[in-house]
Amino acid sequence: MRVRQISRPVLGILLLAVFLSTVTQLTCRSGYAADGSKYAHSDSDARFLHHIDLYDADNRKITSESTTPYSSVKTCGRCHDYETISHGWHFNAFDPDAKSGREGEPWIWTDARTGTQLPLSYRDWSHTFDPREIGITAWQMTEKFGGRIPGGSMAAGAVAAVPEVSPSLDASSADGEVIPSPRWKLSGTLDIDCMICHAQSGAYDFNQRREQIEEHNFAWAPTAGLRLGTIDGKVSRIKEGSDPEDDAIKAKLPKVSYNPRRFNSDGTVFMDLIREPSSNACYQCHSNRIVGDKGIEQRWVHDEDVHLRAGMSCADCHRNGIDHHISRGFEGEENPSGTLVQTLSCTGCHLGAQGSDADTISLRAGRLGSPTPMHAGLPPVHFEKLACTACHGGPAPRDEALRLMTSLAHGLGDKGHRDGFELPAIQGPVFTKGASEKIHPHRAVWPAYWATVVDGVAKPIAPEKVYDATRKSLRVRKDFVDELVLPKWSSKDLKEVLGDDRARIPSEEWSDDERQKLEKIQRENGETLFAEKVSAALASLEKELEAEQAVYISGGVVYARGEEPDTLTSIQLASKDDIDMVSWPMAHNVRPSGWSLGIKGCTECHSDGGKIFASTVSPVGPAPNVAEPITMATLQGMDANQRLAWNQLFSGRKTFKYIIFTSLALLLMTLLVGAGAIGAKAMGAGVANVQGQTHPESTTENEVTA
Amino acid sequence: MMIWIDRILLLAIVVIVAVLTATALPVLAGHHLGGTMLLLHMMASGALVFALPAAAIVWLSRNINSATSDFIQRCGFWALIVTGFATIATVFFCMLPYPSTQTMHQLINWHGWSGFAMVPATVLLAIGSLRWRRIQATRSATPG
Repeated sequence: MRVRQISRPVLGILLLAVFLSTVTQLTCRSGYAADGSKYAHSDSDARFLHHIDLYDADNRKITSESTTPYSSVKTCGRCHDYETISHGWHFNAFDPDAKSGREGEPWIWTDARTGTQLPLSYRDWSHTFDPREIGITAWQMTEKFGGRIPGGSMAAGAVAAVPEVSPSLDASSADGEVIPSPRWKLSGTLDIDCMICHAQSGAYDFNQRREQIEEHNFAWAPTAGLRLGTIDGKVSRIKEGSDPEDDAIKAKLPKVSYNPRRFNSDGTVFMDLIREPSSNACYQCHSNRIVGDKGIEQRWVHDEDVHLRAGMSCADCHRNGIDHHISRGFEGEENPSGTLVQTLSCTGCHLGAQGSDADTISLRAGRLGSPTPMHAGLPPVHFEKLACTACHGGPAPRDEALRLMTSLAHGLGDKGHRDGFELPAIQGPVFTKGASEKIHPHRAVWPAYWATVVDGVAKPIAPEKVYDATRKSLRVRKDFVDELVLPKWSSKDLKEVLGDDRARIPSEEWSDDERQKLEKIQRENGETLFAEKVSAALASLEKELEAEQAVYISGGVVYARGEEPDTLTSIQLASKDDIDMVSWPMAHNVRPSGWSLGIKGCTECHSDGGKIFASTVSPVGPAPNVAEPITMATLQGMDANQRLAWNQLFSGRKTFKYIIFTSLALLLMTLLVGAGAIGAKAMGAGVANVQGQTHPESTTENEVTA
Repeated sequence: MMIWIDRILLLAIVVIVAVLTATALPVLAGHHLGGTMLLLHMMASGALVFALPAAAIVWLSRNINSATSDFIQRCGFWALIVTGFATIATVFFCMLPYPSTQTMHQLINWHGWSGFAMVPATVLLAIGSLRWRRIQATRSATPG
């Protein structure tokens, strides 16, 4: 009886301990398996078919009758480590805490109405501005560039840890507390859309995605991209300042009408996806076009990248693990995952990782069967001075850098009418030095923006503010350049040059002389109009922002209001960093050896006309200023006299080879004569020794002679 | 006349080797040649391909015979010819359109080592030449 009384509480405690232990173990087992991950994996090279349930942002299962968009976080994140993936290179473009990495293409905020091409980046890259410092919110960045990123970081509304704008600029912040833009609650977030890259080629409609983002339907973009249904409604139609909690406003939010045929009988949807993204997916954001004198050059006159031509795809070199830290493929890259990626660069793949132990297989040359380049006759100093891409990458250089268009800057892929000269005015190839001190081909742009000047430093004004403040003074409807800098001719101008009879003929029928005269008049008119309107716009900005001095920066020139009305004057700033060329290295398309620089010999580069040194780039911006072209040699910091001396040295290189050959022949003859003399002497000494042993008196004679 | 030719040649060799060495010093610190240094190096190398064979021909006969040269001088001379030949030959092969990148790296490596080996050879030659001259001067000043 006593025993029973004592054992009851003990038994209770024991039972509780066993219960808790069992529950804990079961919980752990369901969360983390033996491999240490809570996510299962197939470990097969075969595709894993995804007949899956879709879930919305509130984690509710989507049926064909649902009206809410599917959420990639809630759907894909059920089985894949979304948190780890979300830190990848493609998804942290809007993450200020991400490692900056090597400089790349900035986000160029372009507004054709105000002549703005403002390079922005959340990364710590030179000559770029942090959007938060200017007052551009993450929501605005997402609206502007969301169609050119696969989502994630601040575009996904991850603003809790990072203020959208600098607290000092955010009107909604109080006591340092930053309130995220209220538009997020209406637009939803732009989460990482896995299917952009992982959908089977042709299954994802990028233009549908772009359209949704343009209409501020961020959360609806993935559903539209996969064409799972139609989206009715536009967040952009909902007024600024509307209360997201208001039922009337909620009712205006877009609705999805799912295509019932996409749903299987068990309610799942077949997501036709692939593990390794196809190159087509990359092209959505990484296409480039070359612009010649006559506009965008057609594709058929250009070859594709030699690697693609050989049957490779982008993802063969630009690889990643589950962390999605995609290897960028440049020499000296350190992948955040800690994985060795040396052999995923040009030199590593073709020549092996420099200074590596040849026994380490993963650092050997010849990855994917890459050939070892001979570079026959090319002095090794070239490999220390030049990146591989200097001779092999980018568009073939011409006398002047060409205008280039990129998907990130110009939204290529979106259907439209482009002539190739739309802002931003990106140029390339620009042969200048990168961080590695080697010469790389770069793309470059000169920033153009409106700013206030404080203590000799230009501080950009948020583009939306600029537009609001200068709308009435600039009076530009669509395009700053077309309407102010290159205005259309008046009938008076046409009559003056062409005469009354020819004034109405189409421009194609003008003679060269007439065209030149009219272009001259156009430039003069443009300069007058530019000065008049920009001066007025600067006055408006100074008044609106109560700034001491407002300026317009374009093509490396800082315009301020002149003393006379409707005039402009050029001023100097304390630092040129904010007005100078912004450049970032380019690599593709890689040209084959037959199309590389230097294939014709030393003098292809080491001559007065060598493109890598003598080709030029001009500071171009929306303003009408015509700046002096800058040679690549100047950008490389090369002394003109030194280059001339080099060129002269190389002009006589062929003769010098014969001279060296003769020199070597003479030295060899000397060595042979010397060797012969030593041999003869040795033989003579040997003979003398023999003679000395036979006739001792003769030795004495020799010694006397010596 | 021969004395002056000797002096000029020796001075030229010493100066050229000094310039070549000085301009190649950054290599020892792990840097690579470039800019003005490389330009000077190239110019001095141009002078070397003329001066070294000239010296070889002029000084050949005396450096064969032990009676006409000092031992140190002979050592310096032959070491200079051997290292100079190796230095010039390695860079010459690099200028031909035959060696691959890897071979060229190896050749340039050898070029560097043989080039630096020219320095002690030149020092020996200079010391030996001066010593020989002093011995000759002593002999001619000694009566009988």
